[in-house]
Parts: sequence; structure tokens; C-alpha cells
Amino acid sequence: METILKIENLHCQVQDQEILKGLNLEIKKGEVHAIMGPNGSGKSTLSSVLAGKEDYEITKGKIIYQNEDISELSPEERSWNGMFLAFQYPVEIPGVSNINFLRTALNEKNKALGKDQISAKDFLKMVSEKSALVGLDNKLKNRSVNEGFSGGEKKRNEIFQMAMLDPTLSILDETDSGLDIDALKIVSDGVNTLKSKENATIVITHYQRLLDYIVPDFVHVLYDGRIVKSGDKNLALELEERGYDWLKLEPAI
Amino acid sequence: MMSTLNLNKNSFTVDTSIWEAINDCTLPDKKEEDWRYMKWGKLKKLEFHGDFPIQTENFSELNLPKLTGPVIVIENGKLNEKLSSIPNHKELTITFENDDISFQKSSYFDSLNNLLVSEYLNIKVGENYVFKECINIVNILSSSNGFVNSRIAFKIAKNANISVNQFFIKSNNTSNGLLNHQNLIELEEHSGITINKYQDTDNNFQFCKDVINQKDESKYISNNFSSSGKVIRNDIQVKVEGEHCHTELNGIFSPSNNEFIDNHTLIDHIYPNCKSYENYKGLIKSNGVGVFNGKVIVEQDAQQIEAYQQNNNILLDEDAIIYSKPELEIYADDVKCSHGSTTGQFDDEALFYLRSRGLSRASALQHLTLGFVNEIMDTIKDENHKDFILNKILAN
Repeated sequence: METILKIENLHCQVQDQEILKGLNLEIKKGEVHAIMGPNGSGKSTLSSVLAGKEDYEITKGKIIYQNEDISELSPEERSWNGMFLAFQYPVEIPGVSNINFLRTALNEKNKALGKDQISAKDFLKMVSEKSALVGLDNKLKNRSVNEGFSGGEKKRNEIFQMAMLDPTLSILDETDSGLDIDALKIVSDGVNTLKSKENATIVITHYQRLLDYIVPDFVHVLYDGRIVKSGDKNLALELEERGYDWLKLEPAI
Repeated sequence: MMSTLNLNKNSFTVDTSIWEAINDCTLPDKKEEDWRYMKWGKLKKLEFHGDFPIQTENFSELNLPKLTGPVIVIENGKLNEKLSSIPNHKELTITFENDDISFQKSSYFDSLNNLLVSEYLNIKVGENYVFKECINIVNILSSSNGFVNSRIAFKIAKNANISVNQFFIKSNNTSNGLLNHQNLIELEEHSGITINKYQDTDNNFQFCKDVINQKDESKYISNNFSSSGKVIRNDIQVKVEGEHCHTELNGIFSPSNNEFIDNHTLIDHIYPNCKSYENYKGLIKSNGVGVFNGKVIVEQDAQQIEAYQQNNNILLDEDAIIYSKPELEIYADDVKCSHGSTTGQFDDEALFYLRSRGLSRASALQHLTLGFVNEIMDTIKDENHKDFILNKILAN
């Protein structure tokens, strides 16, 4: 299968502190990769640097997305090219309508790709279709972005937006945090429905629990800014049982 | 040294006695508390002239929204008849009156307004008359280096109600003009007025004072949008002289490029059982300077008052400055009052969030700007006017 993302020897620093220290990862179409690791190992830095957050400086290495080095692209350009980051802590933005901003987002994407603007009718149809996927309450769609949403509603809203934007590469940053088991099922079902042979997913998580619902093809352990071990879904089960300590002694692969 | 404006005597057609009285007035000093933030800029160095022709021929020369309803165009302090369409109702009379107010020396701009306005616009609304349309009042400054004084008196009788869109603009290329305007508003029992003020005088100076007297159960709503002006100084002074009154002051001000926009408001609660709401938002760009100085007084007999005051500011650039001074003076013991002020930047996380979903940086900032002013925009009921102001905010 075709490679979507190739990260080569990535070094990244935030405020002069090196967080990623030579990370390698290759993701092909149709695959689900889980990235696990203890606190402070660089999981969130990886998601931020992939989405193009300023303040995250790449000092060495490359991020090749669909055969193009995207290190210099802005967050919006990455989004237009089909990348999506579901935030660990979705931001509350008072006064900005959830639906209006999403419509602007879709139209700016269409414009960038040289496509027509979406009509109001088609947009609303799409909204009702995609919100049903994660059971997002009608009222929430029209409210200000994430304002006053519960933890679970925020995560549903993330997956709803993901469905609307139809990304090629989705990065789910700790999507399970703050979810009860019912919400976890709904969110996972949404992600699984969106999965296809044409796209790929990176699931960043602390716990194995989420991987019962979104089953990964590969599991990687991130430790101290590097991937120190890779395996299949059984690695996640082993981590659940043994913790991370046993890995720290092994040399990086 | 006492300072005054540099006025070219020959260009003002006034009696010697008035001229002497003018020369007797002095500009406020920075030491005065109400003027401590004032940035006079070039104002003290320029020479100003009086008496100007009316020259604006059509609306296309002006940057205005589509106006529906009556239109009163006041250019350089005089009525522009050609552009005005003044209604002729028994219950709504709009006339120019000779100024017979006897002169009392007060603050500089009040005194000069008093001395130099020979005819003021008198808007009278009869008892029980509710005018459904919006009255548009367009104040145009079309004389560079002109010193223009104008005044409008609003007399709203019992149970009457009107809405006004008041524009302060300049015609093309007019610069260094100075407009000194006053609105004097009297609200009788159970009457109401809503004034949507729009100030966009760009390279000119403006001093604008509103004095409001409210009787029992009256309702005064002011939505003040100050877009641009080299200097804009707004004074709104509300005397609430009745029970069960509603007073509402909303404002958005957006100085940029060395502009100075100063909002001084005063709400004086004298009687019990009234409510007042004040909410001003500053969007300060480049090296613009903004001032919010809002004062609410609750006098000793004014029990059961609810008075809320809020000022929030966003500094968009490193050189932007805001002086925010919310003041409450409470002498009654059974009241609900609050005041607050915040100043900050747009949240970087919110900006990144929106961009990560595909909004360009500019578009994301526009959304955050709209989000910031949203609650104030919602108070403007006239959709035309609202759209016009929103577009103006986004274009800034």
C-alpha cells in the first residue's frame, strides 16, 4: 500500500528543550497505528508538531506527508491537505458558532483545492448526517465552539468535525480521556465508520482500553522522544499488564 | 501656560463679546482626573477655521450603509437639505431652533459648543407616539481644519419611543477637522430612546458629549461604536431621576495607528429600583490607545439598584495601549452592583484550534474578533446597521 506519512529522524524542541529525539514512523493507507507511552514521553508534542503548531521547532529530520515535506506548512495548509488533529483538550471559544466556523473551514478547504463552495442545503444535509454518526445533540451544533460542553460532548464534537472534514490522516490525541464507557463506544464507533482503505489513523493513548474499540494494526511505544518498541495489538495488552518500566532498559530500535 | 485652541478669528462670524468669551476658556489640563489619559497630538498645534459651505451632493461620496427611514444630514453643523428627508408628523417634529440657552461658563468644549452653536436641531416626540422606523442622523465633517460645533436636543414625551442611528463621518480627503457635538436627551415617564452611534472620522478630531435625563420607567439604550478617529473623546452622562428606569450603555472601540479613543461614562442613580448595564469592548491595534473610564454612582436614597459594569479589551499588537478604569461609588446599602475589567490577547490555543480545522490565520482571527464582540452586536436590533458595523470591524 501507498505510504501516507513518513517521519524520519525527527528532532523537535519547545522553548529550547528537546522533546523528540530522533523519531521514525511510517504509516500506509488503511492502517491504524497506536502510540502509547508514559507521561512526558513526547506523545502530545508529536501530535502538535504534526498539526503544525507554532512554538514547536523542528531541529532535525523530516515529516513527509503524501510525498511532500510539510515541515514548513501552516496548520491550515496541513488541514486542507487532509490532516486532522482531534485535540486532547478541545478549546472553548465563546461567541464563535460551531456550525458557522465549520462551514467557513469547509469552504476555505474547497477554495484551496479549487473546488466549488458548498451550498447551504448540502452543508446542512451533511451536518445532520455526520452528527448522527456520533449522536451529537442538535443544540450543541449551534452553540459556541465547545462552550459549556461536557467532556464527552467535546470529544463527540471533535469526531463530528473529523467526519465533516473527511481527512486522509487523523491523529486522535488521548480521545479516550474523560470519556465514560458509553461515550467511549460511541466515539470509537464513529472513528471506525470513518475508517477506509484510503485513509489512516494515529491513536495516541495512555491506556489499552481504547484499543479494544479502535483496533490498531501496529502499536508503538514512545519513550523519551523516541519509539523504543513496536509490535501488533498484543504489545498494548502486554503494556497494560507490565507497565512501561521494563522497556526503559532495552535499547532503542 | 493656559492653552486654548488656535482659532482663526476672521473666519468665525461671531460678535466681539462672544469672541472674548471664547478666548476666556482654557483647554482642560492633564492634571484634571477626567483628562489625565488625553493625547492631544497635533490638536494644540493646528489652526482651525469656522464657517463652511455645504458641498456633499450625494450619498455615494460617503461610506454609509443603505439608510431606510427619515434621514437628517448635518454637514459642518448645518442642515444639508438636498440629502435630507425629514418626516412631517404631528407627533414627531424635527426643527432647527435658535439657541437661546444663556451662556454659563463650564468645561472648554461645553463652553465653546454653547457659544458657537447658533441653531440646534430639536427633535420632539409627542406623548404616546412610538416611531417604528429608525431615524438616521448623519453628521458629516467636510472641511479640513474646520472647527464645527453642533447640538441636538431630543425631547421624548410620556410613553413615546424612538430609535436613532447617528453617524459621525467625514467626506473624502477631509483631515484635521474638529467636530464638537452634543446630544441633550430628555426622557419623560415611561418613554424610551435607543441610539446606535457610529464614529468613523479617520484623520479628524471629535469630541462628543451626551447628557441624558431619565424620568420614571424610562429606558435609555446607547450602542456606541467608535471605529476610527485621530482623537475621539466620548462623554456620556446619565442622570437617572426616576424609579424603575433602564439604562444601558454598550460600546465597541477600535483605535489603531496612533489613534486615541477615550470613553468616559457616568451613570448617576439618584432614585431607587433602577437597573443599569454597561459593557464596553476595546480592540486595540498597532499603536492605538484606548480609554475606558466608566463611573456609576449610587446615591444614598437609591436603594434596590442593580448596576453592572464590564470592560474587556484585546490588545492585538505589542504597542497597543488601554487605560481601563471602572469606578463604582455606592452610598446606599441595599444594592446589587458589580464592575470588572479584563485586558489580554486572543488565545493562541483557540487560534491554533481554528487553523487546524482549516481556517486561515486571517479568517481565524476574524472569527475570534466576532466572538469577542458578539454579545454587544446582539444588542443592535437594526439588521442593516448591525451588518454594516460587523463588516467595518472585520475590515479594520
